[in-house]
Amino acid sequence: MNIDTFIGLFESMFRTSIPLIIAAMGTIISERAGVINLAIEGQMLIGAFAGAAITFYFENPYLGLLAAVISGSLMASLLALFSIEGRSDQVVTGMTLNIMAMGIVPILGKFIFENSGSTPAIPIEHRVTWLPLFLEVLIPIVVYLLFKKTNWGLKTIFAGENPNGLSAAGYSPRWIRWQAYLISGGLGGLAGWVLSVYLSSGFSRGMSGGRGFIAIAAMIMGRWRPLETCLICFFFGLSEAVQIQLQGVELGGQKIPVQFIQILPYLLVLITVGGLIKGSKAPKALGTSI
Amino acid sequence: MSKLNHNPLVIKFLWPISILIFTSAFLFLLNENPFNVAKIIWQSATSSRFDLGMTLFYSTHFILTGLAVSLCFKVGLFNVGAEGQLTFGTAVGTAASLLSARLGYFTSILIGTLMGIVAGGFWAFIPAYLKIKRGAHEVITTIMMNFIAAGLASYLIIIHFSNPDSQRPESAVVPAFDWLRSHDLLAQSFEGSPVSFVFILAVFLCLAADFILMKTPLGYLIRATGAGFDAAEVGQIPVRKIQLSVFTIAGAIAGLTVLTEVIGGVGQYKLGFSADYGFTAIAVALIAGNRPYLIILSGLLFGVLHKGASGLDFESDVLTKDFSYILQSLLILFIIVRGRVKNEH
Repeated sequence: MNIDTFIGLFESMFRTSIPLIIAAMGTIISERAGVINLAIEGQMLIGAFAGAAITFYFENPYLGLLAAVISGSLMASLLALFSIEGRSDQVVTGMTLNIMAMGIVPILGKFIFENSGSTPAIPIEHRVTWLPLFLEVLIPIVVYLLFKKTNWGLKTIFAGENPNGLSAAGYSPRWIRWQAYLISGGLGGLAGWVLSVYLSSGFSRGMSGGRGFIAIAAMIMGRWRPLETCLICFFFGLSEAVQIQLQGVELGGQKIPVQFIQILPYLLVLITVGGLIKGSKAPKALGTSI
Repeated sequence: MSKLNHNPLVIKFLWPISILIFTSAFLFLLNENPFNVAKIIWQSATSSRFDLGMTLFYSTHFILTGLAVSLCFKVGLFNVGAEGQLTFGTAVGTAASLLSARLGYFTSILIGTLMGIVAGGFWAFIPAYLKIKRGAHEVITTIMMNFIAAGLASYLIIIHFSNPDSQRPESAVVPAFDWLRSHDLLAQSFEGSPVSFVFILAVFLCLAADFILMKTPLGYLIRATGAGFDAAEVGQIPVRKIQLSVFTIAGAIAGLTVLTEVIGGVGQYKLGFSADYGFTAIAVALIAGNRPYLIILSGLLFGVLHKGASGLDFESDVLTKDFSYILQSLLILFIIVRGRVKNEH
């Protein structure tokens, strides 16, 4: 392995981490407000599909971006409706919406493109070049500043730590949680758009590949702090980049089976979540209904 | 909205009805008549012997995995890993059965099944252990285990046990398969479909689980573990030990899929055989609610929906069998809404 491969790996890492970082920022916002957004995976899936479909149809990636954010938020609004208003269990509802996304996306795909798998390939001139990288830096900084410096951030933290105290002060934790869900969903959709329009040239079946859950794992490891979480996301993104490079490489004369390499990122998440977390510093009112 | 939500009648009826209305609207938008959809689903699931056999076959899968998920809910854990547990169990069980083929039909069936159970249990043990010892959230760990299992199963079957007679991604045929099928009453009654005696076994397991859970002291302890009693009472219950044991057993039950699918059903491990049985299991468990014996009915319901949805794929221009995911999630949403209680703000 020479220096070029190393550099190539790091460049790759910065790209593959983008969806993880954006999604993780989304989950941080929701969980800080006290609500669990397990549907981030489905929001990513739907965002990837909507983003690719609209980008292809209107030959404009920015319209695709809008579509992805809106569809992610729409899904999150369902989650908010059922878990905040309907008081259903947030984890179960989130997971259920993921299943629903798995059903809706192929059917829409067949309806619009006659293909329940992939969307048609987006020509290179309709894709984006630098915007996702810019977002990768911008969004974590914005989220960090949001929580550190703004009133909104403070109220959100309160909604997650002490919702009763917040309502005693005259604010509505319920409204904050709705907002948090919508923003979180929008970011999830945005992460999906990056997947299908930037990192790829279209949507393919099951594209999110567990990344939403990996983002949640990164958030837990990053102790719900934006900047630490970014580092963890880079770590996971690196494993995905390595996995791409490693395919075909030999170890001691034997070709490593491709399946072993493919499971590396998931194995890594398992080991880190299982090995390095002892007790959690989650927001106190996380997952509770108000 | 909040005033409406305080009325229990509203909660029970308005939410499900709203869901039904939205689904129908969605279907109308796609130029599909909801009643026609329902008819297609029912006919596809029940019209012929073969259809019924397939429905029962799918139901067997759903009952087993549904039981696996449901047991974990009982001890307060969310088992999203039934998919990985059934995959890993089936792959290892298939391999074991193929390896022990020379020991005779009955023995190879036994060994394959046992190894499937052990492997499934092992696959559940890992995330359960990480949860109780390290506080690792079981939703994340089990989902990762699902992905890892898929990779390992693919490796095991394709690289080491693949079918010498075909190019498809499948294992060799288990030698005891034909012998087992010829002695299987259910298999003979529904000729052509992979349903087997395992359906009866699955039903029996549910009834047994129901009995143990409801009528024995052990069952009481298990239910108490998940019920969230206060600290004083919890002190008497070995919560973590029970959680670990139940979670592992759940994985073992999922591993029984090797018998349903391979040894007694299709005869070989075909990569990707599972139509997300492990995820549907979540719906099965939630719909069944509190009593394990209801998993039998819930599993049958989803068997009908699943077989029926494949008919949709055939008959409808727009809907595919993925529609069953939408149906599942709607069914779950129907029942998980609790609404607001009068005294809360």
